[in-house]
Amino acid sequence: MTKSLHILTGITIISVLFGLYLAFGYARTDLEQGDIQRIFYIHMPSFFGAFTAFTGTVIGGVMYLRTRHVKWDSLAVAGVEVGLMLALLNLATGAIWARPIWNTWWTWDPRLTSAAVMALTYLAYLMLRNGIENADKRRLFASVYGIVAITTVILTLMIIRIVPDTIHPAVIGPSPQNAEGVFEATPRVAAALLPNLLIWSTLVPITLMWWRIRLENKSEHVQKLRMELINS
Amino acid sequence: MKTRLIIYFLLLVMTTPVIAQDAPEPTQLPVIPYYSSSQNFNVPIPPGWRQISTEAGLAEFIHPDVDGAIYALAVQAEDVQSALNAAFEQLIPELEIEQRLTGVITLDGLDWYKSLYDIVGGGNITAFVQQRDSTYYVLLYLNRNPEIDLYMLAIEAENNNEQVSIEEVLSQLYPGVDLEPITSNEVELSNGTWIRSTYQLPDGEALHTLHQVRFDTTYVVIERGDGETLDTVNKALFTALFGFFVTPDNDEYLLLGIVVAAGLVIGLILSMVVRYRNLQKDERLIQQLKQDVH
Repeated sequence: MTKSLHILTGITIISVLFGLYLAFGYARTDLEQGDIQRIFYIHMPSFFGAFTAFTGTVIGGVMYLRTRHVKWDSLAVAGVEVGLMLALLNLATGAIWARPIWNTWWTWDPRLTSAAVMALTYLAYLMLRNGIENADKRRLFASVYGIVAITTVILTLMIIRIVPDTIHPAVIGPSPQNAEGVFEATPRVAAALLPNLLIWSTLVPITLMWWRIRLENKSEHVQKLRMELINS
Repeated sequence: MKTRLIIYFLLLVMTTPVIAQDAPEPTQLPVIPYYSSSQNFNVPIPPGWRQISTEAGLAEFIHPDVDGAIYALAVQAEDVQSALNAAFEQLIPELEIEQRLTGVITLDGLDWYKSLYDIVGGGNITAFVQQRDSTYYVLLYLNRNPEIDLYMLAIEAENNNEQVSIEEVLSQLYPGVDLEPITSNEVELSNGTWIRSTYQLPDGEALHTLHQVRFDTTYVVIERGDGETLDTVNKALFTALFGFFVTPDNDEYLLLGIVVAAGLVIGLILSMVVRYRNLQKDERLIQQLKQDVH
């Protein structure tokens, strides 16, 4: 099992480096936006990585509610932690892109607001989870919360279509009328974006989640030893 | 079976971001401008004109029916005049020139310094200069035909009366010109509706103008001669001027983005490593305690 994880980690590291080469070496400078446009090759894929991780949380939550097996709870918490990191990465890189393009770090645009709400929802998951002492109650609460929280991810994805008054550009399909910072998805852009999308939405979250599950298993094991020691 | 179902479900869920978006619509192919990667400026090649420069950072467009060329280049200088001098030194070191008019015009929030020159012996230069830090971007039209004068101007309309502005310019360039146009009519060109007027110079020669008002600015091209070059140069110069832009230098933001992204990923990994090591320590300690108890 550990060997598989090490192999996957190696593949992920090489893939991420390859993706970075595509973003910073292969893709050309956007003539209108300049080099900052390259951040997009991380910004967008990181959101889809978060989506994958949070989907893992839903799966973990549903399966835990059905089976009450701890391993599913480990998957759920791993999904939240990795997904939250990727969601923060998405928000941070978006803000850094926005500064030279929109002339502001942040604006209460529907897409940005929903993405921030999404990140805060999952941050609250971790805080509330850590606040519940009883392990069974904690897992039960976390499972339900994790399933419900996915609505914030779906809302973030759909908001651009529900509320068209947004300046956030759409990547797939036409951008809203008021979108600022739209760029042409040339074949070269697509060639750099698609591998990064694949890497950041599958390899990166799965590898990190696997390591996080390993950590959670260790934590469960140590907790079990602790209880044994107390009871002995 | 159960695992396979979970995988199918995961794949199905992963497709929702794509389904959530509309299908891409075919878009028109973009107009590819001349791009100087060394100087970071872009200028569209006007239809019918050809880019002939092989020198890095210098665009030179020519047209088979026009005895002249459009140039775009970037120079490092301390002020507009020294930037223009450097550009002339690079492009036409052999020619002697005299400045006729100068001023500033704001286009899309950016200041362009405009200058008109006459070449001693015949011909003229229309130059537009834009400053970005210590770099000056020069866009100029060089008319080499000694038989005609050709100038282009962008001027703020005086009290929204473009005719007054044009007359002022004509008076400065051609003292004694009869400011009552002989003919004046609207013409439809590919870049919009323009007013074409013909004036008479004191020596009887014709002076042709083409002008258009956009917002508060009057764009006017002036030709002393037969008026045959006016349309071609007008279209080309405005295409180049309106389409000229400098690719912004924002590397520092990209670097910041990379550092922040790397920091977040490394932060999570380090946090997991530290937590795992702490758990290993706890595990060893518990096992030690267990042994001590037994």
